[in-house]
Amino acid sequence: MDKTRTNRSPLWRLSAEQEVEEELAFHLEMRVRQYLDEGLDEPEARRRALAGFGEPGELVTTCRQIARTRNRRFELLDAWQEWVTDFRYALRQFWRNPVFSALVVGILSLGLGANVAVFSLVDRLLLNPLDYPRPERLVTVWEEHASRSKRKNVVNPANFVLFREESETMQRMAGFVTIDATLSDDAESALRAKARVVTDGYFEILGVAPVIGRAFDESDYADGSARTVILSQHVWRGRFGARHDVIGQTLSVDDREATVVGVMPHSFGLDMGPEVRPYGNAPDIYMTLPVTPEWRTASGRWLMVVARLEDEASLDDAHAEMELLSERMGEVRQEYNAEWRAHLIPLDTHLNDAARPPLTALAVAVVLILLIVCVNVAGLLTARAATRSAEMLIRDALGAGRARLVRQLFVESLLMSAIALSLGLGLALAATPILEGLLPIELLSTATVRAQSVFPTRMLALSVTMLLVCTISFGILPGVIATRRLHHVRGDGRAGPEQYRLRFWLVFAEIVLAVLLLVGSGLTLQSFSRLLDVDPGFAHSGLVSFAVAPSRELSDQQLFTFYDDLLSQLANTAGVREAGAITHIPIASVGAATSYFPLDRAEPDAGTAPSAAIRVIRGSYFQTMRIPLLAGRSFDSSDRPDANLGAVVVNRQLADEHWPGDSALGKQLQVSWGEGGARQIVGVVSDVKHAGPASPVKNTIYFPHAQERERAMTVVLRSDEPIDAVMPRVRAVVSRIDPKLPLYDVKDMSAVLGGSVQKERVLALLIGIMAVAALTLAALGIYGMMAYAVITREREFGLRMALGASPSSIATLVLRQALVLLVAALSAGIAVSLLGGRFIESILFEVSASDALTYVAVSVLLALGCIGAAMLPAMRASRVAPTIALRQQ
Amino acid sequence: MPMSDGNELLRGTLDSLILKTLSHGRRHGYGVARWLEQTTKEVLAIEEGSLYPALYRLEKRGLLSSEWGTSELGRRAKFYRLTALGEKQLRAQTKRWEQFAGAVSQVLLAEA
Repeated sequence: MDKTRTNRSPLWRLSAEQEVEEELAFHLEMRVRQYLDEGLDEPEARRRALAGFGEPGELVTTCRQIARTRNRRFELLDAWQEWVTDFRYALRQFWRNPVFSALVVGILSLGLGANVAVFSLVDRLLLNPLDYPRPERLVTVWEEHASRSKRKNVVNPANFVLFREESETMQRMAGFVTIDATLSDDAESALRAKARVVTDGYFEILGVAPVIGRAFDESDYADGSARTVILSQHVWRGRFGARHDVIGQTLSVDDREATVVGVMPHSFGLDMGPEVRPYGNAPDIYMTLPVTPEWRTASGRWLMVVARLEDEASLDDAHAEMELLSERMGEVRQEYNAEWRAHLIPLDTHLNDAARPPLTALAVAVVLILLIVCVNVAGLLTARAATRSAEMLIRDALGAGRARLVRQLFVESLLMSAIALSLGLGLALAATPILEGLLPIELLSTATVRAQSVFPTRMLALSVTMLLVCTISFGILPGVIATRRLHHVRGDGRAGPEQYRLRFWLVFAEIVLAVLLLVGSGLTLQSFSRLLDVDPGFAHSGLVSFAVAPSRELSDQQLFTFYDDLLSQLANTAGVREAGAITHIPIASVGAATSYFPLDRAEPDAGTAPSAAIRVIRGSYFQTMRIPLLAGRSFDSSDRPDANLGAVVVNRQLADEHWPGDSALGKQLQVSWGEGGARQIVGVVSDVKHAGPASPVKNTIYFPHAQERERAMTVVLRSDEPIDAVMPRVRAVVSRIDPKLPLYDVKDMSAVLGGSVQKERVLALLIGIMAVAALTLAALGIYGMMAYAVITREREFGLRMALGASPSSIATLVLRQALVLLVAALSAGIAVSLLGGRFIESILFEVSASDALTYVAVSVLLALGCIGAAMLPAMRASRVAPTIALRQQ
Repeated sequence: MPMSDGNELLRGTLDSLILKTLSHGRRHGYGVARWLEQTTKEVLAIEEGSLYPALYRLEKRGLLSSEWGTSELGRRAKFYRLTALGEKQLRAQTKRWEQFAGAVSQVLLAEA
């Protein structure tokens, strides 16, 4: 392409029309002259000349058309050429300043990569729809008591029947509950499984069909029918070797026969419990839960309910109907349902409740980092642009124009962003598995049921958007500022007050953002450390637990002897100091609860009785767990099975609630448990946090195993030796007593406790890292700005010193500049943090969002960092020799 | 060498002639026409209706470039010159013509 297309240069710019006209007119005239020279007279010459043109009109039109197309083409080519030039230039700039380029690209890629990693995680865990057909139509139903804070209380069976019969907005409703059961068949040893027993409709509501066999049908729910079971995918693979002939096979569930009728697909099944626990698992098998007439009058709340809305019903309709149904509950059984209401929560929301706050916090933090990174890079680029003012002056003089220069700088930024993004994507890919490894299972439990994210397109779209946003924000702005009033630019690379002001505001923004991150980090760190400090109520180090489920065929007496033998032999085993047993250990399992009331008070109205967690214990449980006995005694041989008045031990909170200032010993309770009847309090123990350090203490009633026989128990041991050394001996003991009895769910209680705060730990860690990064960047920003300011004012400093100012006063001048910036930005940052504090409260534990300690610490840290960063330039300023300054022009 | 109809052949040949003319130096449209007439001793007389579309197309394709200059008369005129691409194309087309003309000559001018 010939570059001198002066045909279209500004000076000679003609439209296609004019061009053709003029050219043809010239040709005509030349022809006429030619004929005149050959001796023709003028009219004849003119006639002949015109004749040669044929149809002039047509010719002109044709030529114009071609000319226009040609012009368009040239314009496109020119524009393309400019971009290519810009790009090549950008590439040269990039290579010529490797350190600077590496710095910019490095910071950018970290920011971009972190964002892509976190957002792809958020996308996978929160944003993808559940892998059920029309998942937005699925809801969970809960009851809620007016006075208790628990929003998601499980449902009473009679109420369930009522809802099912009377609801019009819900197409179908099913109830279910997950229990432990022992699975055994002839071939292998028994397996302790999580069995989800479901009413009819469960599989139809969720809309997933078994991969082989069938779901439950009417015959399975009919009275007196044989028991049937559906296997989960992992049990089918693990235990039955993925054999297709498993259908029709019988196995024994809790010592009773059941026939396998189907196998569910892999993605099906998740823990839908009201409190998502670190140990919540997907069910292993499914069994039928027939709805019998007794349900209509049943008491007790233990059902979980899932439903699918009618196609035409909206969520609002359903919510409104729940109000109506709540009233119906009260009408049908006024006393039992007094002060209880029913409500529903969409399944998706319910599953995400635990994951949403921390992931959102993480997402916000990571966006803040990206903003800081962009601001930082903008500052760096602006500074560089200032040093290139000579070059820009020249190019402007050569006719480049401001737009062109800005575009040039933009292309440079685009190049760096693109490189940073590729690096960032690589980082994200590497970091994602690490992130997933850090995050606890409870956050990932919904991930298997979510549709696999369309990773490439969505992530790519997000990445490209971030790239563009970043490039535009820090690519255009410095360029615009740098090229403003070019004729004011001095060729020595200092662009004066404009540049300074821009950098001032950039660093200001950086500091504000850094404050936000630092405050967030401080709060989450405190949250985490408070959690660690919480006394769970028992001593966890050296504590090991495992569960056993003796056969159903054992009589009560045999059961009693079994545990006797087990616990005494264990206590005598080498390395074991104490042993005890309980129905559900704290933290790692969900236990039962029921209502009770003190007998020396008036009987409360039905439905208003307080509730307590119920546990049955055996042996020296309290000693083993190091739960202090505060009054009375623990259970002993005087608590006989045939005693008139059963004995119970309560926790301190319960005792204080009902008998403040008085001893609870000897007082009696009426508990809706087992045979019912009155129980006498024989001891009071210290409080235990059953649901983890972050949960409130619940009133607890302990029953002796002698009086409330339970089959399956969890044994706890205290040992000085590591778990791996002790367990083999324990297994030996168990198999001596019953060779076929499986021992499962072996847990190290220290690990369990650690796992229960994993979420807070990871959050504190990640946000902490980001806060450190933010502080570093902010300090760098201040340093850069101050260094720049000092260079700009060198002459002034030199002058001052020549006039007698001391070096320290010069340094103070510089520091004061930095201080002004710091104070202003810090105040703004604190103000914004306080305003935004509400949003972070949901992830904090016992820390207020306006915690004074955090704010003070952040201020001090930031002040130190920024003053430190400004020190170096300040000292350099104080060393400016007066003569140097005066010599400069 | 495949040959469609007479027009194509003519247009292609005209393009080659123009390119060749300009290989001697830049000229305006009239200059090209005159040169061809004189060199071929009036055997080839190019009509303006064919010449100018050809010139414009050649420029669009990037084989020529144009610029305004001053003519012998002192008037402003549009001059064309050959680009590097045009030179390459000229060489290729000259070679093809040699082959073609040679083959035709061999047949037509052979002794019976």
